[in-house]
Amino acid sequence: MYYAELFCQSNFSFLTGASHPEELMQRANFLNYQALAITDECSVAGIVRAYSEQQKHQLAIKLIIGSYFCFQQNLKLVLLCPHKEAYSELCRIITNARRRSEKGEYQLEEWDLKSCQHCLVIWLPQGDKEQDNHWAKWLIRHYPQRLWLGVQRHLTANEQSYIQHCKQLAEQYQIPVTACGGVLMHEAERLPLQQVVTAIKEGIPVAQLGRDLLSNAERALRPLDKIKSLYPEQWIVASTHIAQRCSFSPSELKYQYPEELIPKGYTPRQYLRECVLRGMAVRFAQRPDNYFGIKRTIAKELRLITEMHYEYFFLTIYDIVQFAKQQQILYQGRGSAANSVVCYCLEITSVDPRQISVLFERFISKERNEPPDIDVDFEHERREEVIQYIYQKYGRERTALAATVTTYRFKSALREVGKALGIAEVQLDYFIKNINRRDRGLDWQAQIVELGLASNASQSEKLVHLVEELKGFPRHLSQHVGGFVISAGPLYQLVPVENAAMPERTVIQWDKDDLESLALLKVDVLALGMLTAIRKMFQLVWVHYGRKLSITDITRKQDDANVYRMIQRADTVGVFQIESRAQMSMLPRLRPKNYYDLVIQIAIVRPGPIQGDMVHPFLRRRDGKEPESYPSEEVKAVLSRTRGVPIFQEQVIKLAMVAAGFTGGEADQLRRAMASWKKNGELMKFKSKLISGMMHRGYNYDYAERIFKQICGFGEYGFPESHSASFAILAYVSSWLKYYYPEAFYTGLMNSWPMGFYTPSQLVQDARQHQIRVLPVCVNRSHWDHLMEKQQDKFAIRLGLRQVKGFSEDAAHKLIKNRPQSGYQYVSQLKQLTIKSNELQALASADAMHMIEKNRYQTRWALLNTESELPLFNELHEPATGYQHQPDDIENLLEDYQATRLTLKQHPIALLQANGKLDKFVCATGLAQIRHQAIISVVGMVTGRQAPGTASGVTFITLEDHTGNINVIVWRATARAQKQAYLKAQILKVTGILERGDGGVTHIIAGKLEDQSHLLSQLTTRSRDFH
Amino acid sequence: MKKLWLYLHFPRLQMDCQFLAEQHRPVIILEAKDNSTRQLNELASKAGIKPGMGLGTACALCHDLHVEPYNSDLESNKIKQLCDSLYQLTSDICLFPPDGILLRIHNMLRFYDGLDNYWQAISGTLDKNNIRYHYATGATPFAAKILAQSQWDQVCEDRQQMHQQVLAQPLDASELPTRVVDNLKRVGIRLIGDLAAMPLSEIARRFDIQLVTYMGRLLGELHHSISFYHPEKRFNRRLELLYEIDNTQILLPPIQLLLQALEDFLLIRDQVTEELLLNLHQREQASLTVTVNSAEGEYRAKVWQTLMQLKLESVQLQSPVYALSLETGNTHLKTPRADDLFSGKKTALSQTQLIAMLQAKLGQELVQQISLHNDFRPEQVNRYQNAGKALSPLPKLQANRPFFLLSEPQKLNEKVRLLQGPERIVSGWWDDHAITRDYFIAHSAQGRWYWVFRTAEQRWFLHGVFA
Repeated sequence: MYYAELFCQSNFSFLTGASHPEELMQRANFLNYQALAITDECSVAGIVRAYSEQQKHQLAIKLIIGSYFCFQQNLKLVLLCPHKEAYSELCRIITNARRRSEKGEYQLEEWDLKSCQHCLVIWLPQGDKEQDNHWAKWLIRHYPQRLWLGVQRHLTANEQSYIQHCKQLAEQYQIPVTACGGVLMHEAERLPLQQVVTAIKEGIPVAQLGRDLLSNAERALRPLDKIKSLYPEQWIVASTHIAQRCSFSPSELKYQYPEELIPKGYTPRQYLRECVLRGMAVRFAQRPDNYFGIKRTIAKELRLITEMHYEYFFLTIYDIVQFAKQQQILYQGRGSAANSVVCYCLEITSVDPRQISVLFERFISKERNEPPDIDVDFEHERREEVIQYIYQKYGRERTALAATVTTYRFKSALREVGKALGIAEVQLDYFIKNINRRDRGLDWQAQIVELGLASNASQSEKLVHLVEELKGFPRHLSQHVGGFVISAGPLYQLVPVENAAMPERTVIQWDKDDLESLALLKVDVLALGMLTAIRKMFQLVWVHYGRKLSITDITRKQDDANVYRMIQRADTVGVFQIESRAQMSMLPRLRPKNYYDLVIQIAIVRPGPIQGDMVHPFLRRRDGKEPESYPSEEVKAVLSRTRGVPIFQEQVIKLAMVAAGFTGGEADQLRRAMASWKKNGELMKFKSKLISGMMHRGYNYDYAERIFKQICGFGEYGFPESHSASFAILAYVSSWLKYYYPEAFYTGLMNSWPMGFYTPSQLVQDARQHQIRVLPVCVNRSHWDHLMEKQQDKFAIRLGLRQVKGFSEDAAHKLIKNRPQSGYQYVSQLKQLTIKSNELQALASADAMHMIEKNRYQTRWALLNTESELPLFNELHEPATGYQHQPDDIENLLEDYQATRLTLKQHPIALLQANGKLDKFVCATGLAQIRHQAIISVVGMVTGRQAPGTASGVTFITLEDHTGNINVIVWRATARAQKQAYLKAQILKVTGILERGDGGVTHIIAGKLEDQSHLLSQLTTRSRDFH
Repeated sequence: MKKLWLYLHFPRLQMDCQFLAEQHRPVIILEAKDNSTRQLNELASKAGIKPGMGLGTACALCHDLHVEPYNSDLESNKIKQLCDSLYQLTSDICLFPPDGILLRIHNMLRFYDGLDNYWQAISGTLDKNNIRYHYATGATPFAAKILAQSQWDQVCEDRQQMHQQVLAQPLDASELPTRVVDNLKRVGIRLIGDLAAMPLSEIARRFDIQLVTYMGRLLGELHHSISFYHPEKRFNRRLELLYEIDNTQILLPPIQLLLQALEDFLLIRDQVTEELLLNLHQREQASLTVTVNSAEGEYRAKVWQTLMQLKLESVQLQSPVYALSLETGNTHLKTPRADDLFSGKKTALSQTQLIAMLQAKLGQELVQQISLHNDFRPEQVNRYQNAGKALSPLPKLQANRPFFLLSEPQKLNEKVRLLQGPERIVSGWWDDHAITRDYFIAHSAQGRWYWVFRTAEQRWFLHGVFA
C-alpha cells in the first residue's frame, strides 16, 4: 500500500507545528510513506532542512515542496509544486503576501490566487455549507484539472457529518478527493509540546485553553494500516497520484548572477582576468623574486574559478570593494578564498602573498564542492553606506539579506514553558536568576523542586522534558548580520522574500546554512570597529604629520622589530585582537616575532585551544622542552607549522582527510558539526569514524583519542587560519600605529568608541602611562571628536565634547559654530545659545567651563541664575554673592566619573591613599619587585570580571590603580565564602599570594577580599562583566 | 501659644505586622515596581542586604531569603487603626500614609499637664501594638517629620534646640523632589542649614516657588495648613496574624481582639449592629467570609464572641489563615426596643444575601451552583462551584452529548450496537488527570441510546445516556 502525506506543517509554522522538518522526514520514511510534502504556512523556510536530511541519510521518501494558506478566514488550501515553474510561482505568491504585511504576518489577495497557473491545489473545506459552495465554484473555475478536495480525519466529534458534507461537495462539483493528514507533529508523544506552543502563541496557560486545544493526537504521522482503516482506498490512491506529478527538487535551484557586472563584449572569464592582471601590475610594481611563481599561482587560481563558475562571485565582491575604495571606506576581506593571490590583486584583501605563501592552500576546495568563503569587514560607522549601495545598484527585487533563525534557548524555553504550565512569572524569574550563577555545580533540573518551581516530581519531570524539547525550536526569522544574496532575475523566483523588522529591509526565508546546503552563494558585508579606528588614525597622521598611510604600506614593511618588541611586552592595550586579559598574559610567553607568530597567537588564545589542551604542549615544544614527534609524514605535513599541535580549524579538517580517510564531503560535514556542536551534539557521531579511520591507517588508539578530544575542545571556537591571517594584519597595523604614532592611535581609537575591549577611561590611563598628556574637555578648546593638540613640541590629546554624558552632537555644533575667536568668557554667553539647559548642565558637570568659572559648583550656580536670561540683563555679569561652596577632591573625582566616565585628575586609588584612607598595599608597578609566592595586599578599582566557562569556577578580576592593572584570580571557594565583596565591590582590596609564571606574567591568587567601595561611594565606573 | 507638633514615623510597618514572630529566617519586603528591597529584618541585614538593593543581588547574598511583596494598603490600614486608638488620647491627628502620623499637640498639653505626661500616654498606646517607631517634636509639621525620620527620638519644647537640629539635616531627608535636591547638591548645598543660609534673592533667581514654599513651611515662616483626620463611620479592621493558623479554635483569641475593638468603636458612637462579616484571608485560596447575625442589634464583644464561636464550629479551613478582617453590616443608633422579641422581622433579601445566609447557616460547601468548565474531558466539564461566583462562558462544541452523564463511568456489561464514532479524546496530561478514550454513541438491545467509550486497554465503559 502506498500513501503520500500532502499536508504537513513543521515547526517553521511558528508556534503551530511541533516537530523539526528533519524529524518529520525521518518518521515518514520509517513509516514507509511514498512521499511527504512540507507545507508550512506561507513559508518555505523549512524545506532546505528537510531536503538536507533526505540527502544526508539517503532517505527513500520523496520530498514535495508546498505551502499552506488561509484566505479570508474561510478558504484554506495547500499549494504544491510539481516543477520548478510552479515553485517560482509559489515563491512569488508568498513574497507578495508577506511583503504586504508586517514582519511575521501575511495577507493573501484574490489576485495572488488567480495568478496561480502551475501549482496543484488541495482545498480543505471548512464545513460551512454556504461558504464551501461558494468556494467550490470559484476553485473549479480557476484551477481546472489541478484541484482536489482534501479530507482530514482527526476523530473529532461530528466528523461523520463533515465527511458526508465533503463527499457531497465532491460529487456535486466533480472534484476528486484525496486523503490528507493535517500533520502537526511527527509522533503522538509530541502532543504536550504542541499544546504548549499553542499556549505560548495565545499567551494563555495550557490548563485554561480547554477546547481551543487539539482534542487528541491524531494530527501526527500515522502508520499505514491506520490510514488504510480511516480512508477509502480511492482517496489514498489519489494522494499517490498527486505525489507522482510532483518531481521538483531543491537541487534544481541555481541562480544567475547579475549581468551588469560584466561590460559589453567580455565574457565573465575574460573580464575577471583583465581585472586581475590590472591589479597585479599595481600590486607587484616592483617585481619580487618569485614573480613567476606568483604568475603561475594566479593562472592556477583563475582556472579553478572558471571551472567552478565562480567568476561572478569574485566580480560582485570586486565591485563592492571598489565602491568602498572610492568612498574611502576602509575594508578588509577575510576567509579562505580571500587569502589568494587573485583576491590580493583584486584588492579584496591586503595579505601579501609573500606572507601567505605559508598559508594553507585551501583556496577553493574542489573536492568538497564548497562555495568560496569570503567575508568583507567594513568600517562599522560606514557599513550602512555599503549596504545602501548594494540595494541601489541591484534593486530591492534582486537582493535581500539572508535570514537568521532565532531559536529558543534554555532561558527563554524555561520561561515560556513555565508560563504555559501556569507557573508564576515571579517564580520563574527568581529561579532563572538563582541558577545563573557562576557556580554551575548543580544541574538545573535538580534544583526545580527545591526552588519551588514545580509542586511535585511528576510536574517537574514534565517541565524538564518540555523545556528540553522546546530548546532549538525556531521562534521567528530575523535578518542576518550582513549576508546578502544577489541575483540576476527577481529573487522571489528562487526563494520567498519577506519584511524584516528594520524598515526598508527585506529578508529571504532561508538562513546561511540553508544557502550553503543548496550551494547558493552569499556575500557577507560585515562591520568592524577597528577599521573605523584605523582610518581615523590614518587621517590624523595625514593632518598632523603630512604622511599618507595605507594598510598595504604598513604591511609591506614586513616585520618591524620595534613593534614586535612592544607586542612581546604585552603593551597592547587598544591593539586589535591581542588586547584582552588572556592575550596579554600569553604574549610574554609566546613572544611573537613575525607575522605568522601573530597568526598563531590570535588563534591559540581562545577557549577552544585552551579547553582542548593545545596551548601548553605548543609552548613546551616551541621552547624546546618537549620533542615534536609525528606518527606519519601526512600528519607532519599538516601539523609541523604549529609544532604538532592542531590549532587551526583547517588542520583538523585536513587531518580527518589524510589521517582518518574522510572524503571531502564527510570532512565538510565534520566542519559543520564542529561549528554547531553546542546546539545539537552532532560531533559525537564522528568519534567512532575518526578513531577507527585513524587506527585503520596505523595510528594508535591513544593518539587518535587525543586528537578527537582536541577536536571537541575546538567546538565552536576553533578559529580558521584564513580568518586569523586577516586579523593578524590588523593587529600588526594597529600595533605599528601605537608604536610610531601613539597620540593618533589613542585619539583615533577613542573616536571610534564603542568598540574593543577597553573603555575610554582605561585607554586614557594607558595613554598617560605612556607619557602622553591628556587635556580635559573644554568649551573653548574642544570639538566634538577628540583631537590632537600641539603643546610646544609634542602632541597632547584633547578630549572631545562627545565624552560628556548627556551632551548631544547638535549642541556641540552650535557651541563650536558660535564660539568667538577669543573663546567664551561668561557663562551667560553659553546660555544664549539655543542649547537645552540639561545639556548645559552636562557641560557644567564635566567641568568643561573651567576656563570661565573656577569650579563646577560655581559654574552651575552661574547657570542657574535665571536673571541673566532676560535680554536686558544679559550684559550684566554680577559676581555670585554669598556663594562660597566648592567641591573637594573626592567630590570632583566622583563627578568626573559621573559626567565623563573618566578622570584626568588623581586616580581614585591615589586620592584615597593621599587622604590616608588605605592601609599598606603594593601598587601595580611595584609588583615586579615582589618575590614569587610572597603574601601581599593590592587595592584597585574593579574594571573587569571574567568568568570563562572553561576554567572551573575561576573568576579573573582586573584591578586598576594609579600605576596600572593588576590581575587577580579568585577561586570558587573564595568567591563563595566572601560573596559580598566578590559580587558587589567596585573598589576591592585583595590580600593573597603573588604568583609569577614564565615570561614574567604575574597574578595574585586571592585569599581575602575586602570591599572598599564605601570609601568612594557612588563611583560610576561600571566594570564590563563577561561570561 | 507657640505651635508644637509631634511626628511618628514607622519604618518597618509591614515587616512588623507580618513577620515580627519570625526571627529565624531572613525576610525582605520588596517594592514591586523596581524589585528593590524596601524593608528587611535583622537576619537579612546581617547577610549584607541593604535597603534599595535589587532582588537579584539580595537573593545572591542570601539563598534562603523569604521575599514578600510590598503592600502599601496593609500599611495604610494599620496606620488608620493606630489613628483610631490614638484618637482616644489626642484630637488633632493627620495621616501621612503609608507610614507616618502627625499630631498637633500644643493645645493638648494642658489636658495632660505637660509634655512628658502627654508623651507617656501616647507612647504607652503605641508600645502596646508592638511596632517600631521613631518620633520627634518640631515647631512645624515638616520640621517634626524630618526630625522623626532622622530617628531623633526626642520630645522637647526647646525651640532653639529643635531649630538647630533641623538645620543639621541633609537635604535628602526633606520633602523636596530628588531632582531639586540633586541640583542643590551639585552646587555644594547639602544641608538644610546651607540652604537656609543663602540669601533668598539668590535662591529665588535660581529655583522655583515650591522650594521657597517648602523652606518657608519647614522653618515656620510660612503657614502650613493641615487637614485633620476624622474617624470612620464604619468599622473595618484588619489584623495580621503573627503566624498562620489552620484551626478555627485557635482563631478565637485574635477574633476576640477585633471584637473588643468593635465594641469600643460602637460604644463611643452609641451604635449597634445586626450583622458582622468576618473575612478569613487564606494563603492559597480566596478569602472565606463568615457572616454572623444577631436577631437584634448588639455591640457587646462577649455576645458576638459566643455567636462567632458557634458559627466557626461549622467552618472547615481548607488552607491556613494569615489575616483576619472584621466589618459591620449596617449600624444604627441604639434605640430602646419597644416591639416583641418574637414578632418576627420581615426582611427582603436579595439573592446574594440569601446565599450568604444559607452559607452561614449551612456552611459554604453545602451551597453550590452548577457551572460548566472549558475542557475536553467530560467529567471535568460539569463542576460545582461555590454559589455566588460568576459563571464563565463556554466555547461551542459541535458534538452530541448525552443528557445524563454518569458521575463515574461504569463498566459496560451489555451488548450494544455502535452507531457513531469514534470521537477520540486524548487530553489532560497537564494536571495528572489524563485520559485516552474513544467515545461512541451506541444503541442497546432495550432501545436505549448510550454514550460509551473504549480505553487504550480495550476496555469498554458506559459514561452517559441520551434522552
